[in-house]
Amino acid sequence: MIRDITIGQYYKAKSVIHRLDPRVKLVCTLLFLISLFLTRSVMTYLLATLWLFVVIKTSKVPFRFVMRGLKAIVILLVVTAMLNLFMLKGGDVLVKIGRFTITEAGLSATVYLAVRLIYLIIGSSLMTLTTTPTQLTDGLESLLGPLKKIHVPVHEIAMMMSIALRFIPILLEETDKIMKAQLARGADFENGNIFHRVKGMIPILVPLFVSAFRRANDLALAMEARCYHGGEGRTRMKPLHYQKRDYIAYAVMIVYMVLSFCGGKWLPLHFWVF
Amino acid sequence: MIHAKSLTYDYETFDSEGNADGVVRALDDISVDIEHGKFVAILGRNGSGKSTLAKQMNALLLPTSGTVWVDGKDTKNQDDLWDIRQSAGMVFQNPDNQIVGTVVEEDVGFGPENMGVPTEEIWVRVNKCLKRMGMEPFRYESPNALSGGQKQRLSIAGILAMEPKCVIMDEPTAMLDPGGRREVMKAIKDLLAEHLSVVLITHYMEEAVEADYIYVMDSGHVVMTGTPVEIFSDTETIKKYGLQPPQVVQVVDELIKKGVPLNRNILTTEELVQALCHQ
Amino acid sequence: MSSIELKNVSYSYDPDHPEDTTIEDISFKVEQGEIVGLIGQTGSGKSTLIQHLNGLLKATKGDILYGGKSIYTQGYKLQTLRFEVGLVFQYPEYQLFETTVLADVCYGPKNQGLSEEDARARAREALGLVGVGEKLYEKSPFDLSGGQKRRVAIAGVLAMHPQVLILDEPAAGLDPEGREEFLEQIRQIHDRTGMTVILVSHSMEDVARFVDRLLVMNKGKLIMDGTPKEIFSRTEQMNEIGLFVPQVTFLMQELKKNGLPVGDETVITVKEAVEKISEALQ
Repeated sequence: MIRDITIGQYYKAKSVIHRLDPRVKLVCTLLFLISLFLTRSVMTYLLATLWLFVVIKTSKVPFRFVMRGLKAIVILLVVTAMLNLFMLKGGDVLVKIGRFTITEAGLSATVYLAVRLIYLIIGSSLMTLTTTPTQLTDGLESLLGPLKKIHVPVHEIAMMMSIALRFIPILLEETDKIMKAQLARGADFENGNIFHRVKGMIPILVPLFVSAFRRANDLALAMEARCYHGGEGRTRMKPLHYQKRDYIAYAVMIVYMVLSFCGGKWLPLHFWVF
Repeated sequence: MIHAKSLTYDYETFDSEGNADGVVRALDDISVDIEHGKFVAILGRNGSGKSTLAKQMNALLLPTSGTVWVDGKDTKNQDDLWDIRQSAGMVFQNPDNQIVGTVVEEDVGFGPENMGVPTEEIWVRVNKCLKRMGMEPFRYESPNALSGGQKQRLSIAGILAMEPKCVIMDEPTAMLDPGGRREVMKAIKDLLAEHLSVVLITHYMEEAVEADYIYVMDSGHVVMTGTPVEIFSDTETIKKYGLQPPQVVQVVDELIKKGVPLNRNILTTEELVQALCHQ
Repeated sequence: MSSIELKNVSYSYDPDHPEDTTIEDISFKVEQGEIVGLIGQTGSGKSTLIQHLNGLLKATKGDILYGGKSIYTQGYKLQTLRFEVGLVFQYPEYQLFETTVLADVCYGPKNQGLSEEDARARAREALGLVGVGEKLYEKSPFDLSGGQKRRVAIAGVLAMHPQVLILDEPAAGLDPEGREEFLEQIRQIHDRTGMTVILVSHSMEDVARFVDRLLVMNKGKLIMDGTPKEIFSRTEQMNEIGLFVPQVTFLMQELKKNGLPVGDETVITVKEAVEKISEALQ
């Protein structure tokens, strides 16, 4: 059922990774992604592989769940890999088929690119798999806290994110219902040219917007009735507190970053932009 | 607990360009008195002003003229706003549109968080209220996975966590099936057992029968007040205001018309069985 | 001739797990011109079932015949079926989208390929049937009251001239007077057009008065099919599946239990109850 779709696809399990403070996970994921793009050497990637392997094992998330995220980017991956493989020229020519040539530089760039993209997806899905959406928004709100000083409405942004997370499944279901209601009145969403199809969306979009506004209105009223008045003077049911394990995680991350960076230094440093 | 005197409320209507083109009187010179610990039902057809009145009871709307006091505090006094909303909690019709949290227990904590209750105290309240509404088994679930009746119980738990003195319910059963309606009615009885006041707006007369006192509204006026017996025994008048007596009362009414000597104060099946079989 | 016939229909949301059915092995036949009630708790599969009747969902097992012909035969035009089998969803007012009431009701007929003029004629006729007056035709549907919106939405389906009208909880959220008027109007439309009507409802009191035949669903299965009297005589079973029986039915059973000779027949309306009680008292 459409309501079962969980945004961010949290995987329920009891592991140290699950228990870590969301801020730790956000920061470490960001650092890990940076480490992937900072250096390009066999050493760095071996280290990253080891890192991911250890994290997956400790998180108790089944391997196939981690791999699920990759499905979404298969096409992107293949297309960019192809472009790199055939377009980049440099070094010895390895294969020549008619007008297309594959060079050494092209091949190595392709492999690195593919590995980077795959690790990037795995790294970030590990975060969303082990952190509930609420924890994520709480973590973001806390990390972005300093921006309040320059009048960025951090609390409001986090509240909006969390409400969006709650209402996305409801609105998806609503879209399905409205679509069916218009189909029952003989609507045809599949045939006709682009212009017809776009026009055909109006009977879905108008009711959907009207409904979203009505819900927003109701919710605003309900929140007011429950004394909501912004972030000021608000306490937390689940405040974020760093534990010993969180400091250990940060320490491990620093060691990883240093190793990753030094590993890159041993071989010539390259910055690739694609 | 809640006291309204000569309450009048007007709202402006707008034309398609957004200019005010008229004023509608939604509430006209209304006086109500809701005593502490009582169960009060408000009935009337759609558009009679019931919901508008409910919103006046916790300062979501303010009177155009007249006064509403909640627990002795004038709703027009801005300084008391949060106290008023805390002591008169409100449950709405659509169960989906009043749940804020993405996890059941977090939604119950939302009110206390807004009130600035310390963390440990929030947990005490959340645990207690989940248990009171029988929602403990669902505490880690997503609200989207609950049935309609469970969602309304969650909403009530969320209000209870603010430790109100009165719960105002605006058609909480309108979107539920018979099973869900029974769940909500049971929850209301639990609240009354704990000496809270309950104001219930409903279209279901079987629910109103259980109230201590009933207000009937029609086009912005309170047109009838009294105990369920007083209200429902006057079948002709309540039909005029778009209400329909419960089937048992209809049967009693018809039997009396046929000359059966029955008392008009019969409202429930048990009472009618008692009157016909055991006297 | 039977209007709609279901043969062992099952449906599962998840094609990988066909045993996880939302509805299972459902068979029944509806004759042209019948008024049938469909009851069951939320989640019992009522909504899934009715979406099969106009081809919005396709059964994973079993067959559905409309007018004697399987709707799953190759090349069967489902769009045409939807004009024949009109489905009005719960809270249909939320599907309104046009700028005027008349234009919104014209949406269905226009999808049928009717000319602007014919569509308008159909719309006027349908709005007349549901009692929406001419002065509202050019208003925005969003400016109407809740009850009026719902009438307009139902007119939007009636304007397609369906042979079968399926209504999912048409009276939900209306006040008692509105409910009464509304159901009465649907009966009149039925009498005038000879349509088959399938009414999904949560109100036992409503179906008791309104339908000739009741289908009861529980946990995806069709567990009872009979006249309201037959169904409501099984009070215990109805209570068990959380549906309960009309208040008068329960009252009469209690009276009988306590020794008032009101007879064995199941009573489902106030009028019958009054007659039986006065007979018993004499």
